[in-house]
Amino acid sequence: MKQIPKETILRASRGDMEAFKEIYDISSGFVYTVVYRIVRNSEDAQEVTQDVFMSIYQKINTFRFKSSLKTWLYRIATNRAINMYRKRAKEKGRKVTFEDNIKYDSDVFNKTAVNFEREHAEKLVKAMLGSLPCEQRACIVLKDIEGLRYQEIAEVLGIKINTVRSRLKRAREKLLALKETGESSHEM
Amino acid sequence: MKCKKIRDIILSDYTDGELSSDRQKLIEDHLKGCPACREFLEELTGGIVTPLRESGHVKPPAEVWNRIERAIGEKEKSGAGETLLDWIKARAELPVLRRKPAFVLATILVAFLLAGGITARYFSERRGVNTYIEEQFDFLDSLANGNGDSYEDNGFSLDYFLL
Ligand SMILES: [Zn+2]
Repeated sequence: MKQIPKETILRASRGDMEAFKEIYDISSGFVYTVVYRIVRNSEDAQEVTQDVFMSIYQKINTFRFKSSLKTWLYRIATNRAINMYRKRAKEKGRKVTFEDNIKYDSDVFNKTAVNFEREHAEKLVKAMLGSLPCEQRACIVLKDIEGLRYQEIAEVLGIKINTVRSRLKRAREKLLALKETGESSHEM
Repeated sequence: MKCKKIRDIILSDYTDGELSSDRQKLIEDHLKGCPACREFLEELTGGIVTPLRESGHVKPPAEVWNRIERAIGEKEKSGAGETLLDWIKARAELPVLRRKPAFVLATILVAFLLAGGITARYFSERRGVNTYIEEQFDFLDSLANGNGDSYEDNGFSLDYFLL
């Protein structure tokens, strides 16, 4: 990702709208992606993204350069996305589980679907992320899509590095198991 | 090392490039001699990690910026800025408030008493009080984040008290 110049952050913190737009242009792609991949629908993702940037606009004058702005952005975006996801799950009156998503999308796990046409690739990504619990999904998004280091993910989520490691491990084990079920049920 | 242990490492640190070069070499040596673990790695990389890595960024639609710009404009026009209650409500999103609401309410109370006690001038300029309390919150938040998972145990929100 393109770095956000310190000078731009300082200008934005004095209320300079142009500087704030610059920050938005550099960061809205990854903010929206993280949020969208966690909440899993574009309507909520737009609402959360708007909320994230409003919050940044209001709080940027408290930014102390102790961590990077990027980490701060990831942190706000991930937290808000997880909260939104939980709120929606609660509204539905039940946990959005794993099985729900699998029944819905199980055939994308079969081999022909993995033959990397764009549409299928996107379907596969959606199905994979949809079959993970929210905490594991957030870790996978920050790791595999955003390419953050364990240390950075730990900072963003406020958890220990070992927790990051074990969530990633459990998530990938689950995805491998699913892939196998998908493939065998397809063969039958 | 046993295959089980190797695969545990493949599932996390090896795939994520978090290993020291010694440990990395250890895994690679094992892979050279073990077709089963090689197949495991290929399945993980090809079937799961690569599609995620290649999925890339999704851009937000242009309306999102337009809405942000409009919302900021409206906020500036309404002028007065946030009230102290708005300010506390905004902070109600801090994870610490979800986890330890009673503790935090007590802290807010103490913070107000302190701020009032130090000098009456603080109250005549609300901004000063806000900054002071904000620092306390940052501190509390950093304490809270030092000990474990933020997301495991919520289900309680200060919003219920403030609404
Ligand atoms: Zn082996």
